[in-house]
Amino acid sequence: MTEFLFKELMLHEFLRNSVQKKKIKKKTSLMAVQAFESSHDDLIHDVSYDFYGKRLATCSSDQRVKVWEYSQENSCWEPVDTWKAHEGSVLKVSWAHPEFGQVIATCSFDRTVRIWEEQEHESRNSGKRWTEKAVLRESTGSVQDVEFAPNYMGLKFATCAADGMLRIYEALEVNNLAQWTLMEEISITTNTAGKESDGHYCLSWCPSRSTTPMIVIGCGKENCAKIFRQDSTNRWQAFEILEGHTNTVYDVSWAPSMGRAYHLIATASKDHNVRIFKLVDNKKDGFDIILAPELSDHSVEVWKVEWNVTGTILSSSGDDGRVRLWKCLLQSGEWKCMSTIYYDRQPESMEM
Amino acid sequence: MSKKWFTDSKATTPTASAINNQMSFPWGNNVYEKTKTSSNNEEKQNETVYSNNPSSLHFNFALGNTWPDTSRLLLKRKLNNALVALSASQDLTQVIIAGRDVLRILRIPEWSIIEENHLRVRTNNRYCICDVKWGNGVTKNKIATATTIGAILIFDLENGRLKTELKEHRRAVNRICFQGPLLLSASHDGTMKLWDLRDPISAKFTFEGKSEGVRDAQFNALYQHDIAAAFENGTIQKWDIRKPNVYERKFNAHVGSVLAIDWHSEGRILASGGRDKAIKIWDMSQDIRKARDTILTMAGITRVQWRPDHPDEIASCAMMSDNRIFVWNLKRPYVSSYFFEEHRDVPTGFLWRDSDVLWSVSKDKSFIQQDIKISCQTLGLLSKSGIGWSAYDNIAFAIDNSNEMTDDQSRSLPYSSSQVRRAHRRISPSNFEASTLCQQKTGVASLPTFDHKSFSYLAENYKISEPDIWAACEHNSKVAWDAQRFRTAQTWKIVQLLYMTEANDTAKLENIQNVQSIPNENENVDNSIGNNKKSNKPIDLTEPNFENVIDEDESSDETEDSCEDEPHPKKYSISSSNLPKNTDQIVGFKSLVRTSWNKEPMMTQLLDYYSEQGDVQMCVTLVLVLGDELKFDQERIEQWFFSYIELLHRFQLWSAATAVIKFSKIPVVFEINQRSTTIYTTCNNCFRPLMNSTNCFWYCEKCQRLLNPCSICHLTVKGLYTWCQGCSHGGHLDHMQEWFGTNEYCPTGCGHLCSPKDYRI
Repeated sequence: MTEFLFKELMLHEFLRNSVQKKKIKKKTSLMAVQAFESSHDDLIHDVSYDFYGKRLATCSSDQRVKVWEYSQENSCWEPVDTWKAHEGSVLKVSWAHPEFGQVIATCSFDRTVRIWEEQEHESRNSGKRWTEKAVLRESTGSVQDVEFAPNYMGLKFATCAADGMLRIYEALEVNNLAQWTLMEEISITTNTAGKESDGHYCLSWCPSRSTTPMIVIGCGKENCAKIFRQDSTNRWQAFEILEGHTNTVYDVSWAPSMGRAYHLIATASKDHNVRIFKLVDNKKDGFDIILAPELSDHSVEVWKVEWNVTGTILSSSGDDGRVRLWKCLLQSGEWKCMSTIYYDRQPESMEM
Repeated sequence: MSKKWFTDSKATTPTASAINNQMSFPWGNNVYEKTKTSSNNEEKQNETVYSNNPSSLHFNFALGNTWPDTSRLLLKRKLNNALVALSASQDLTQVIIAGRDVLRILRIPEWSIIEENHLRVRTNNRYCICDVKWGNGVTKNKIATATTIGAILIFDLENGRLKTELKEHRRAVNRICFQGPLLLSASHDGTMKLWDLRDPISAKFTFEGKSEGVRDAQFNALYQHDIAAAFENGTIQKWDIRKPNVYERKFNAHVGSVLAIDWHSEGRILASGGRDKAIKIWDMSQDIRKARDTILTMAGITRVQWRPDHPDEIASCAMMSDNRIFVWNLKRPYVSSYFFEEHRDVPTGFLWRDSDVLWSVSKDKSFIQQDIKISCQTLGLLSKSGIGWSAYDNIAFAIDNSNEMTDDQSRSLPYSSSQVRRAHRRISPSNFEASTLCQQKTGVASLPTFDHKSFSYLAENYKISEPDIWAACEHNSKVAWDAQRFRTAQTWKIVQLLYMTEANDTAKLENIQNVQSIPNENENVDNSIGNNKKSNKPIDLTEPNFENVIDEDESSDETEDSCEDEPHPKKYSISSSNLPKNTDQIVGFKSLVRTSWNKEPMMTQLLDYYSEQGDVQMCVTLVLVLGDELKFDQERIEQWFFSYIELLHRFQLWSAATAVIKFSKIPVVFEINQRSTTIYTTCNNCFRPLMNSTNCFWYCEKCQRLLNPCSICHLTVKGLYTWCQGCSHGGHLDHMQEWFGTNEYCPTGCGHLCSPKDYRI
């Protein structure tokens, strides 16, 4: 195993005043980075923690999904099981809320969504510990995103696929994971050609309890993201449109609001920028949208954005092989890159 | 074996008419001239552009962009029936396409189509074509078609007529293959026959596969005696035509039928595709029964063909549901390199015109010529990174830094030991060096931004049900202090003072000195208030002042984070250090507190501050402690509660979560504990559900006996019953508590270690 070296940069603008700057500088505590060997045979496309943060699922183009657990004894991540989940690249993995058991949904380039449940009695790393409960084949294009809804809505998940459709499935009986009802099938695009290369869609549920469930959809080549929710007749429709992108939207992430007076949505785009949209309830059944200045530090295509659990830190990653962490300055309300994680190929040229 | 016919196209084909002049057709049937009307101009233009810049063809991709001129890259011809097969003439200028009632020759000079010839099958519907092949060498003017009824029809292009009909196969002929005068036919009747078209009276040899139907058979282009055959039952056989009695090799290749095979131009390697959705690569020179490489795809493979001049690349199309033609690279078996998605229905046949241009026919009735430049690069659609957050503010990531790499396929290929192994067996391992350099990295970074230990400590120790606000604030401040949350501790102090009620002021204020003796930082709060008083101004605790307080302790908070390990935080000097030590100040302070303050804007600001930080713990605890005293947007309070309860659940602090729900005065939150409150029990003797509420739940009517008496006093337990999850013995809560206070083992003497001392909290 080759040596992994990660380094972290603290940006000092982030800090308040000169006195503190000195203090912090002295004690710059590197965040602890622990590398682990994924042993996937091709690119990993998604990494997802379970609700408790104790387990990790990774999915890869090698058609496999792995579930990991942190071993306190050996203080490293150890695989619980690895299995061939799909017949194409596995693009996303999502955990259901643990009240429904240990359930995972995966979506793939092979146009299917599959639901997996852990079998406690099967031994670890047998390849049988997770069994396929359902295969959903409604999509005619690769399924690009899948995400379980917040658990207050029941056992539900949404998918979006290259055929330009948002689909919402629900297990009406939560203990029967083999039966999923297609509750909604909504067209999310005006582009009807239905070509694989034309569609790049992504979604994110509004994680907070709200009077009506909301989803933000990244509409790929339309260079925008749209907020979908039910109208007065309970039909899902696009309401607000998050504009300003000059190229494909690759990822969206809706921040947990934690009772703030507003919502935050982040987008990652092919136009090299990360954008943060602030949604303020305008009391007329809608939101006023404020776009914060674009975050262009990546300077390459940005593929992923993800909020932390309290919605205070945004992470983004792009083709530059870096994960950037963004935090809002309390005083100015400005978003600043607070640190960067990347692999340093030449450790001797490391700079602090 | 290069098929690059057009490298000198500038010279040979300046215009369509020139082509016509140069290539006079031997069969000279002028009927077909009329079809090439409209395409002349276009062709001319295309020709020019193309030959100006031939090198631009190669690897000039920018995915997702619109192409400036697709007419040079894509050519479609719609016919009136679904197509099943195609075959190119030896010089690759013409193609014959076959389908139901269709058998047409198209001449394709570069990027235009001229319809040449319509071979008339004497159409009675008996002949349903399975395959078509254009001869080569001495048979270059012959076309053979295979039909479902087992006949092979040979057409002569010199007169466009049917020349011979070979009828020896008893069932459908699946595939035919030319090699000079020899024609090989693979039939569903389980045999292959070799015909010599110079003497086509009967088959020269018949190869008995002794397996099921033959799906495909191909001559090896390099070693001309070798043929490979694919069988319905999943086997592949290798024959030498000089030894027609028995196969040379046979091996099981696929689960289910093998539908297609293709020899590599280099002669040793065979690719096969099967109904089992796999493409497998075999080294035919060795007697190895294991595939050298396997590519697992989404659907059953009906055709495979190596890409010319790219020894590691192979194209395939599928039999159902997938309209795409994929190009795979053996170095990267999981992600296809490119795919063509112009067809609207399943492609039934394709062939490479040259290394970049593909001809294909489909059930959608169309023939398409397309350049690999309009294909889609699969890798461009895939994200090369992933991020996930845990509740502990740990971030798991997979990142890739392969942007500097130039070679498309070895880009961002993760490194693994199996990769090295495989690389040694590559046909051309030229780019291998590059691929090892770029690796995707996975790791977990723990951020110091969220301290779950102090969160848990606070969750478990905060007083949330205390009716006396003063006492609750006092307690909570101490708890926060213990958890080294100095800012939070200070806030509690401020709140304590703000919500002091008149009745018990005096007594409380007696103690204020004690309060001050605790931490240095706390004095700061009192201090700023005290200062205000000293100057005898009316108390002004509005924005700037409050902001100040927060800011200062914010800073102390920052320092705490970085010095968590130290048992006691370093004292942090605060701007104003004159502390209110004399009782004068306290007395004045007392009167100050009595005046009713306008608490609301301050509290709003305070709650906003904490919710901005995502600190719902503070918000919720404040709401619980202050109860009705606090006026705030109800909807947001609900959000805090739900968020806080979810956080507590994430940290598995179930008791704290239940307490929060219990003491909440908000109906929607309080309701959570009112759901699913019934526990259904069954008799532990007869397993009958205990439904009868009149007879109570400790007596089974069927067994006529008491259930689960207390293990200590042997009486029925009414009220709280606790039992061991291990041995299921139990009894009165207080009896059990008493017993396990001194014992570890079950009181019944069953020998179960119910409550090991080591595990007690």
